Amino acid sequence: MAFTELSFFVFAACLVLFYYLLPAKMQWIVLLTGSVIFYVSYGAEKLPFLLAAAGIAWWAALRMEKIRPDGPESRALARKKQKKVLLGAGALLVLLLLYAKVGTWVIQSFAALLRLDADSVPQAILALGVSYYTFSMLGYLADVYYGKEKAETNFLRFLLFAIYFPKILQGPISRHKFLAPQLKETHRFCYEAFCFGFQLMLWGYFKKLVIADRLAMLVNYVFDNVETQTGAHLLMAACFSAVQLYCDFSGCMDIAGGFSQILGLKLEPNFNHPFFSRSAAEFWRRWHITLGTWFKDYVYMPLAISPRVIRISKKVRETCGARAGKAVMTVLPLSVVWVLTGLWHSTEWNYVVWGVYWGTLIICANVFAPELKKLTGFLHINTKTESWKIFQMVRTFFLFVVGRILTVPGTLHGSAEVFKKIFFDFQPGSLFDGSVYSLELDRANFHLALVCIFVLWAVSMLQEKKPVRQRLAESNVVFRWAAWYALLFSIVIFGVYGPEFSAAAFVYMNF
Amino acid sequence: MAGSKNRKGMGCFVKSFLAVLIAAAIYMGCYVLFSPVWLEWNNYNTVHGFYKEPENTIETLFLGSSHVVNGITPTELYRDYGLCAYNLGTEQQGVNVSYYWLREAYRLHAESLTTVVFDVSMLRRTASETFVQKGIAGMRLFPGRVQAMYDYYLGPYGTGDLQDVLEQLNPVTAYHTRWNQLTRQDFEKFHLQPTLYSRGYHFVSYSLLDEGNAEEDYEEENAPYLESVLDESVPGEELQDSELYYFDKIVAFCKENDLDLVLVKIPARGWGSNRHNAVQALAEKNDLPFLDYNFPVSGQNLVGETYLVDSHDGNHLNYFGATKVTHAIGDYLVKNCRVTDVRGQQNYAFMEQELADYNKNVVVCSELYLATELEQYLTLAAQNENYVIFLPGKDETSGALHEPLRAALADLGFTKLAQIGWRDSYVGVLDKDGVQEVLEKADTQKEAMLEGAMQNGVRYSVVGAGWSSENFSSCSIDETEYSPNLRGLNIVVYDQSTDTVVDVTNFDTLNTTERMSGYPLQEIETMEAEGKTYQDLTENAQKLYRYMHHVENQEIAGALQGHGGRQELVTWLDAYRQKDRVILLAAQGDAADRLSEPVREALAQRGLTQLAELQPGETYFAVIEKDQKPYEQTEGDGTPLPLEDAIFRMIHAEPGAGDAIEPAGLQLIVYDRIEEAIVAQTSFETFEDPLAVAEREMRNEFQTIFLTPKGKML
Repeated sequence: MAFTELSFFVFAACLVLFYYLLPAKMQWIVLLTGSVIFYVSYGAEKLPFLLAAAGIAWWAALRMEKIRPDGPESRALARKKQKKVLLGAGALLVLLLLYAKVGTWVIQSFAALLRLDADSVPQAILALGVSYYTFSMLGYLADVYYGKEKAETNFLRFLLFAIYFPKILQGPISRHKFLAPQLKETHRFCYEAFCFGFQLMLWGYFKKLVIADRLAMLVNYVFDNVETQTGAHLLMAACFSAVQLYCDFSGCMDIAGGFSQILGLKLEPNFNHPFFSRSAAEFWRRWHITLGTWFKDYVYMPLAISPRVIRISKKVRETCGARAGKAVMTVLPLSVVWVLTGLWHSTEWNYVVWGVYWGTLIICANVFAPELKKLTGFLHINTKTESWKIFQMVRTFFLFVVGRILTVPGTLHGSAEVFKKIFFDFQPGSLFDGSVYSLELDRANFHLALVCIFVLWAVSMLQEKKPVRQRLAESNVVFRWAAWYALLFSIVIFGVYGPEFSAAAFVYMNF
Repeated sequence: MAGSKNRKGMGCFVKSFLAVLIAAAIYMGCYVLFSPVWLEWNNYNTVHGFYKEPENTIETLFLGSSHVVNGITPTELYRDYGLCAYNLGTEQQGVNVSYYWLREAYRLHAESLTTVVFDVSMLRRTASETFVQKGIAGMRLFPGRVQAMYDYYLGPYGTGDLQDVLEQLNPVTAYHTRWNQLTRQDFEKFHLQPTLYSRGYHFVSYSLLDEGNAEEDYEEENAPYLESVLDESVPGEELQDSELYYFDKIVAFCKENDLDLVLVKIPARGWGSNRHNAVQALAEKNDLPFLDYNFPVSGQNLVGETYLVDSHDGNHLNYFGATKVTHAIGDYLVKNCRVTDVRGQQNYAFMEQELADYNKNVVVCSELYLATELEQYLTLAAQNENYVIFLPGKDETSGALHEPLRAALADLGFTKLAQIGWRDSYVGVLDKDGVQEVLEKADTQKEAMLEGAMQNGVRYSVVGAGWSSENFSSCSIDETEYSPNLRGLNIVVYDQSTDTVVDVTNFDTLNTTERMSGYPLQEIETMEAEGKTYQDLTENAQKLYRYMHHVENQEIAGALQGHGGRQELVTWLDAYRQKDRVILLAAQGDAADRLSEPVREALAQRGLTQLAELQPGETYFAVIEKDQKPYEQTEGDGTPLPLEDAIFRMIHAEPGAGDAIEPAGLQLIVYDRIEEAIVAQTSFETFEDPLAVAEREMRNEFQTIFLTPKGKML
């Protein structure tokens, strides 16, 4: 039951009706029931994994809380016991995640080793949303361990936090302390929230159905036929794939966030106009925000202040100087974070390289910041001007495009082929000779895609200064309604859906 | 406080209600805009006409594919039998769609419906999803189309996906991707009426011989023939399970609702004994009548011999074929089904208006098609006040316009045409308000032109240019060109009531005021009475004559299948002793051995006296034509016949060279003068002893009859 299927609209409408018509104290039960139904629509065999993960996390949190120190000596012992529970539960959750990520590969490798027919061995079940909910649960366990929040005593309420369906497919990676209290409260119907939520959903559908799925046709075609494409086409497709990924991912976030708003709930923002970023670091503070903050809070910070890293830093300071020593406290944790980030996306080598790529960019920007400042000074570049800011944004965008080229072809060899074509077979004329209209999008659809990207940019620019929904809410009623109807019917008419297309899966659902 | 809260709540409710209302209105606009428009074989008239019928009036329902659409004209069933029938055929209507329409028709005419006539063409294959959609396009959403889509997608042969049902019921979902292909026709779909129509029958007048109007250029080598000789021994073709499933549902529905079900096959290509036998078995299993008009029914071959002119594209009947089939079915229904003559009944008064419209539009159009004389043609066309007649001349238009004709044209209002001179440029437009004409003399070298708008607002532009001017003609109506652009007077007839061009023709008035008929059957039927021979016929009539000859030969051959042996010689002679056929008989002496006395007597009665008295060892040859004394030659000592003075020269040659027949016993060849080909050959092994055959081969020189590679007699 994808967000873009007709059945989802029926489901959502029924859920909202039940949510507000039944007694308020039943709202969480309605949400839980709806979330289970939504999850099971993707295959009932996936549910036991989520239940198992939720069970482990819930029990472990309660167990940690029950371990109370009786006195000063037993505080350390209690801490040790809690750590054991934390590590044990964490290991189980990570195992679950690994099973989902590499289970099929492991099974088939074993099958090959034992010379069994690959088709005769059972396949690993791909647990839906496993990357998201395991991270949520790991964060929850860490928060309980560090005393940042109390353990949930009601398993069903905890299950609701884990399985809450708007966020299960593509995130955001919710924090228990942020979402759980909202799920416990009762919510009265608020017309304004309903309207704003609906509007946000519309915007999400526009990004997903009109922009992302349209660009996907061209991107998939070009990258499936690399050998017959010019470098210019490939670069264009890579740029489109960046926009496609953003619209796909953030579109889903908007749909999830908008629907939650209708229910009176708020989800953590996951995007903040990342293509306005002026550096790689800033980019990752605006893109997939909850993943970044999760790694920052639960990997980077613990590593950065860990005794081992401090010891290494000290040693390096003694041998190589203060600057080097200070750099170690950044470089080591960042390296781990980015390797893990790559692995979180996929265990394939191209994603590992992708993680290393971003890690290198961010580390270099951090470590060589003084040199870069000297360079701009040496070149008399005024870094306060608008043109410099635009240059930084464009540069960051292309850094992201390079990252896309590392992942979209599917293999490192494929990525190498693409780079080769871009640098040695560019053929810029192929962008203007009409051949772009034969890349799966005809002339009208290609131009429509460009117009929609412009609309996206314009709205994002406006949004940077003031929320667009707010602007429209304050504007003249005729203009306001015209704008929303234009948005609605542009989805109805231009959206990529219907019998000609299968419900295009959201990209980040695969992680 | 509570009051302001209530007011705020009410305000929100009103705003929401308005918002939903406006969204629904815009969505309905999209619904209409994106509804599929079928340009070819548009079923719009059929379906919308059906829903306009007063409820509980239709008594007989026709279901089936395009063969039915073109093959049954219900208005003539009313005119000639008083039956109230409706033709709910649609293009490529699968058996499942027939079932859906049967349900829908019964829902609205349960009290009157008694008979269902189902054309079995689509039992042989499954209609694609596109044609299922097309077939039910226009069916009312509730409950018919919802039920149909539910059954089609979620039934035993569907995709099983509810999403498909929801998407197909909503054209916006299914067709919104057409946003960049919308044309003016999408906005004019309510006026889309591409053909003349009446109660579901779609009228087509032209035949395959009608150059310029026919959909394909007629090529004799590819002439469409119906397999009109039924062989009941051929195993029946295996029918599709999915089609049988819905067929059974139709049968059960009719039984349940006490409806007479009659199976028919409208004549068309792609149908043969294997399919007939399969459906016949199905009919017998369900105790249903099956009228297969592809083959002779009750001894009558409806259109087999004239399919060339009773079909407009080689696969569907035209008006002339449709009237034959309609009347055959009408005869059957009146004798065998529970149908009533509703003429004169108060609640069927609307049928009289429909008949009047039919006569004015369809019948007049068919008569127009048959008219071969210019004056006759224009007089007929002028009778229909809805017709606008465009006459652009080209090249030379005046040569054949004799004085009486000019006077007649002037009486019709074509005063300037009546005065046209050598190579003058001329255009004329006639409508119910009168005639507009422009005549430019040849020495001015100007073209004649008329532009304007008809009463329905459709714009036209007509240009006629004589030989001294631009030498062309044009007739553009609503930016579509219709003029045949041939020498003489080009005529385009436009019907304002249906927004269609009903006829386009040309009279080469340099030389004649007649045009060749596209339906020359009458010319053939009267040729004997008028003392005409084949060579006297017009080109089209000759084509038809050859076609009919071919069919006759197939029928004779079919009738003779399985016949052989010496006793059958006489049967063959009688069968082929027809006009324009030449029978050649050659024999060797051993032919005489087994010619029995009764056979000899029969041969003698037929004028083959020498053959009747043939003795062993004698060589024999004969040429037999109808109504002529047979030419016979016998060589007593068995030597080859020289035959230089025979009608057909024969060449002696070595065995095995060229087309030859080798006499062993009696050899018979039939040459058809019209087809200019050998149409039958056989031998009668009157001597069957293999030892004697071997002796013969050793002993005899044999005489071979040679023919040119194409079988032409020298």
